[in-house]
Amino acid sequence: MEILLPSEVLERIQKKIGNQSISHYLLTLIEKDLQENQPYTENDEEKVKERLRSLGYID
Amino acid sequence: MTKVLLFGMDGGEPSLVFEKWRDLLPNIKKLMENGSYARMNSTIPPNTIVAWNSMISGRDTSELGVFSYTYKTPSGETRLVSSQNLRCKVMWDIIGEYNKRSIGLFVPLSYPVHPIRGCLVSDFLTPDIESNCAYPESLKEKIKKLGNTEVFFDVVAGLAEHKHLDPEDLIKRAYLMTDMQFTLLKDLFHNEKWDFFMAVMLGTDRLQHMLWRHFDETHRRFIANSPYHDAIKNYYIYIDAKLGELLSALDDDTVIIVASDHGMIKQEGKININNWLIEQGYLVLHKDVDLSQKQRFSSSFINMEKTIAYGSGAYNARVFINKQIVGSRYPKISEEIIQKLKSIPDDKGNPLDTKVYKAEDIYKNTSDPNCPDLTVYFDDLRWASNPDLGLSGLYSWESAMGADSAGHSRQGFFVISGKKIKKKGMMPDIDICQVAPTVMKILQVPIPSDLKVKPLEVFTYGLFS
Ligand SMILES: [Zn+2]
Repeated sequence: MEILLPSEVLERIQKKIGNQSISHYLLTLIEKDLQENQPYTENDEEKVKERLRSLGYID
Repeated sequence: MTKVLLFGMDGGEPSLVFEKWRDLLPNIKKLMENGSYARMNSTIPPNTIVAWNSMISGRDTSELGVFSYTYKTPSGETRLVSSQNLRCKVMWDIIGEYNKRSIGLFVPLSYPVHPIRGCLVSDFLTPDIESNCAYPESLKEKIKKLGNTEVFFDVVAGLAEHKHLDPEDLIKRAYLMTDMQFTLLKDLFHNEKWDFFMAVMLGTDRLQHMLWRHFDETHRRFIANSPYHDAIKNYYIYIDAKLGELLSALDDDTVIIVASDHGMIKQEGKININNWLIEQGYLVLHKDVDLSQKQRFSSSFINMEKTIAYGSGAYNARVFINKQIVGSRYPKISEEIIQKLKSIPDDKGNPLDTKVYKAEDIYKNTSDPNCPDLTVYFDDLRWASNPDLGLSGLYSWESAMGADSAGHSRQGFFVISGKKIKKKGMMPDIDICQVAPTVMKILQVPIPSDLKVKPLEVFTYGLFS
């Protein structure tokens, strides 16, 4: 799917992020926003990840 | 109407249940003698959260959409999986539509819980009792009354460094967890209405991971005369006795299934997968990555413009091939990597029985970016994978305590018994995906039309339509 953005907005984003990719920047923002519906808070996620690391289940 | 009790022993090893300790487990033995049983091929990979969900959905790893404990978001962030990552319905969702009630307890990847027709209490991926771990929520009050709500979900909860956990303490925690879980289990078993009751006991997995070398004389780091020599055996006996308490309370129109998600196998050591890929010229890191000290591998280290493949995975290795770089050379390069992986010897130069699975050969849906191109079982899982960087050479031994005694093997066990179940004894190997349609058939719920896996042929003729 293509998303249209006004060129003025694109220019402002590019100014803010320099050489980074705009898609990556937007994805990160959207993911952060959607995190409100995520099953884990940041703290909870780190707690469970640490548990799994200690078991050798994740690297 | 016939009901189903599915009693899960995480990591229950078929050779121990069917052979070595058969006579010490009278309740499972009786079910075997009165019913049918088999070694059960687990999912690829035989990962706990994948395998249990395959068992209660009939779907393969790629259909579940879960390949490991973590996944990458489209922006490249590594996140922990949860029940929300599952792309298909599991047993309670399916049979709930036909008014069947389920009780699901401690089933891996059931956190966060969602409303079902029945009750759900989540698994070892639960952060704590205050999280969304129980449906209906009133069940939390029952759990809180049991005491140590942290250990309730996992023996290692609340410990910063599991490797410092002394075996004595680990064993104590395993029994404490199981006792608390059983108190809740029996309460719901007796006081709730259900058509499908499932509970997964985690202690078998945790104790085997950590204590295997205390009893397996063939283990290269076997501990002779260990005071913990019988710890795993005793826990199996204890779980069998707990199962016996449930069986004695069942009416004769309940089908009983006892099963595990995978088995267990001694772990010889670890193969440093990313070291190997670097050495072979497949993996190129950014120049500023410091290889002088041990560190966890991160995809941000990869120079994607020059990298052909990179690895991850703590037991089996997952190899991802950079399709943008290899383009049409993909089949040739994939085959080349497979042959080289298979030729990696052990630390003494002996050949290994390494198995490598290509995604397109084993999965129905390979388009998921989290789907590895190659899944590698070094020496049929006797050797694990270590993706860390800054390690010297190809082999490593030092790891978290959980990882260095035993790992998951390819097959779990399956036992089914009941008035309407044939007494077939030992059957040829079955597949974990066959369990779900078998349960649906017993409960007389239509099997979803797109689920092509056949139920097991264990029914007495004519009793089920
Ligand atoms: Zn498991």
